[in-house]
Amino acid sequence: MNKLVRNELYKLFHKKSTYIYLFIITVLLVLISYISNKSIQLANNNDFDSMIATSQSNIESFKDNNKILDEFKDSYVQELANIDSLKLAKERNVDVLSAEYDYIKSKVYALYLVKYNVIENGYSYSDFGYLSEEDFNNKLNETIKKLDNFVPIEEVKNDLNNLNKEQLCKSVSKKYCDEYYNVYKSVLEYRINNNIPYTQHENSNVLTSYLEAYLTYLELRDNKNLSKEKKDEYREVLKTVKLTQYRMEHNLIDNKKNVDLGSASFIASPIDENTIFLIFGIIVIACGIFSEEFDKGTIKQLLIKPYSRNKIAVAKIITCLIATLIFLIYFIIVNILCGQLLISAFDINSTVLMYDYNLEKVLVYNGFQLIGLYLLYKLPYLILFTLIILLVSVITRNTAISAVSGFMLIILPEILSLLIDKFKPLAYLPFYTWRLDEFMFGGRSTIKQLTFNNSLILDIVYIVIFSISLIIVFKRTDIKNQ
Amino acid sequence: MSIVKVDKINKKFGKKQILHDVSFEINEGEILGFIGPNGAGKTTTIKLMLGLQSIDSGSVTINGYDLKKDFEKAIKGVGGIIESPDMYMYLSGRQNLKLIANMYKGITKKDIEDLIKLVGLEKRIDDKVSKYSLGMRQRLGIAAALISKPNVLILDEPTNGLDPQGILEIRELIKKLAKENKMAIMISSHNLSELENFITDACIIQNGKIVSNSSIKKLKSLDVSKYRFKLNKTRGIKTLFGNNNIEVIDDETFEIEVEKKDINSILKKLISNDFEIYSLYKVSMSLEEAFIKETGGNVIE
Ligand SMILES: Nc1ncnc2c1ncn2[C@@H]1O[C@H](COP(=O)(O)OP(=O)(O)OP(=O)(O)O)[C@@H](O)[C@H]1O
Ligand SMILES: [Mg+2]
Repeated sequence: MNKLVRNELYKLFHKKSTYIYLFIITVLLVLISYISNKSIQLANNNDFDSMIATSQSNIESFKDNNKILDEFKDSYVQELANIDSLKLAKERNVDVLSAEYDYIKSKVYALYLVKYNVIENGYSYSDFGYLSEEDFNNKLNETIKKLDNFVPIEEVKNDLNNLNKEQLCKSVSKKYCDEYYNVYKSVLEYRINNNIPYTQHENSNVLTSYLEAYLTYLELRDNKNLSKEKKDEYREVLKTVKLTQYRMEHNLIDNKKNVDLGSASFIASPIDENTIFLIFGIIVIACGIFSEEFDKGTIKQLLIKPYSRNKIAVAKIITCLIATLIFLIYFIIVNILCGQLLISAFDINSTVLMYDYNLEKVLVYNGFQLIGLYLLYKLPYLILFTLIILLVSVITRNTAISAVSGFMLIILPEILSLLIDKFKPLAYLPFYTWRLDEFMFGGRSTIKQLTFNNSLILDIVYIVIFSISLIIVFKRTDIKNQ
Repeated sequence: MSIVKVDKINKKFGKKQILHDVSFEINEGEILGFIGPNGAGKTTTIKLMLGLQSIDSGSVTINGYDLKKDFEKAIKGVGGIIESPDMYMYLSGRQNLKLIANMYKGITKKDIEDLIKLVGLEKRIDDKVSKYSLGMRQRLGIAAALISKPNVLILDEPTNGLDPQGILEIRELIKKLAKENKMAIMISSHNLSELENFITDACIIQNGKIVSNSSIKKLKSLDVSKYRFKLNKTRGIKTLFGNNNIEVIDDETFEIEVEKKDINSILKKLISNDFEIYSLYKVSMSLEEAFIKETGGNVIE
């Protein structure tokens, strides 16, 4: 058996098609990393001119015969403020995600609101405002002067100094007032200690969302009779709260400190979003191992050796799974290398925080551990996918049909998902039950009937059924004349 | 001693019965020619014997093991080529042989080298098989069939694509294997004359039925022979003897197939009918003709 598997692998890895496939996929993976890296760079680039152009074209769309339409007045004013702020930022070389930019924009916007009288009533007419053009310009210049002395974190310090418990507690019921006050205060302190001013940066946004989530969290926490939707909401809110708390405690709020929640999915992408790559791989393997041997007649040589057909079939299945795994690991390595070399922000050794819904706890992994875990959950998928294509390949002995069946396995679940509500048993088809990774860290399937347990049991049943059918079909196959 | 025993095997494809109660045996040191026209069922029989297709009824026993029940043991002693020697084209000849050697125990590098020499492929063995000529592939196929040191060799049209020299070499090789290694060898062909000089036994299959099965010696010693008469004229010969077994060659010559003991009466009949007899001699029959004689019809339909 061992010998058979080794022979099969030997054949597979002496074939041109295997290497052509690996080469093409490598090129694709490198290209994808390169492009995504480029687009990250572009997004980070302050391309003021194009942003200004966008705003200007937006403004044109609010006008009719050069008159601003009433219903767009708010947006019109916003875009005017945008343009001015962007021009200023460009002049002074200010990052659009920075606190300075936020400061400029909010001030300019306020001025425009007054100028166009948007604040008082929504429908005053264009070109009529409280501020004269001159006043407006003066005030704008004042603002710009202030900017020279602007220290973003001072805003936060101001807020902390002026923190008013009663004011704050308006948004939360009395019994939680103290708690909310303390949390609010701790966030402000954290901002000051770690120099995180109010910006549109991820690190600032995390803290802002944390406070929002905390409000909901307080509202739902002690309520024993939550409706189903509320329970789900609580689940998500709790996640945000716990994760942020963990990150604050361990000083991991700042993105630069190698916290990369996205890295797991990035590394695992060959099995996930890029399943299509792997499908090509499985088709290459399955066809090489079954249909091609039938096509070329070499199967006869194999079948007249002193091994039962069962053994040969099992050896071929095992070979297929091993080869799939080898391809997969190869992709992951290529992806990691691409990540290390092309995407500056990415590091396989970076800490990855995962929140487990069931444990209601934050778990810490490094990239390798996470990949391992992810593969484990993906295993039934890989095995079942391979088995189904092999089965088609053995039944039809036709490479084209096997290839098409692989694509059907990707497309069908999307199409059939529309019918699941009407035909409940559809949910138990393998291409829904094999999505075990959805259940990682206490996650839920998008299909209500499926739980981790019933999916896993069904997967095992399917694996047994498909393997046995594969062996039986292979055993019964008459070797036809050429 | 019978090494291979095929006993009343039947095979249907759909409704079409391809093999009817096919039975024969191959003994140690025997070379069985398995002869029949295109579509007679030679390849099908061989496939059944090697377990490549299922047997509807009947049994195949090799080295005392039933093929169905004890496949691994039965097939262990068998080497074979079916239809054409299908090798992995993207591998070299040596890699192909190694793959096969891997599947058996105790086959050494030297065994493989010896085989390569035996089939005369030393110079090209490291080339990809895709670059081989058909004849070279046949040689490689024979080497592959012999790797496991089998005592049964089953070859489906093994001389396909070989040049006369190649055919001669393969024949010598097969003769040697049968004689020295005491192998039981089966060779199928639609061409009887190609085999007649070196097979020891012949089995004729027609439309899925074995129509004749006997040793070459016996066939050749059949009493029936052909005699050639030279006369002053041949007109009226056919009416004289009936149309039976008579072939008029020209105005003065005819041939007739009869047993020895009938010669006298033929002579008497000729003389009493005013034929002048110039000469009479026995024409030796080819194997093919002997078969035609025995099966009472044309082998190739
Ligand atoms: N898979 C199949 N399905 C239906 N009929 C088949 C099949 N394989 C073979 N046959 C039929 O069985 C008969 C015997 O075929 P087989 O290949 O055994 O002939 P053969 O004696 O080897 O001929 P050849 O000298 O041409 O190789 C033929 O009539 C063929 O049409
Ligand atoms: Mg044939």
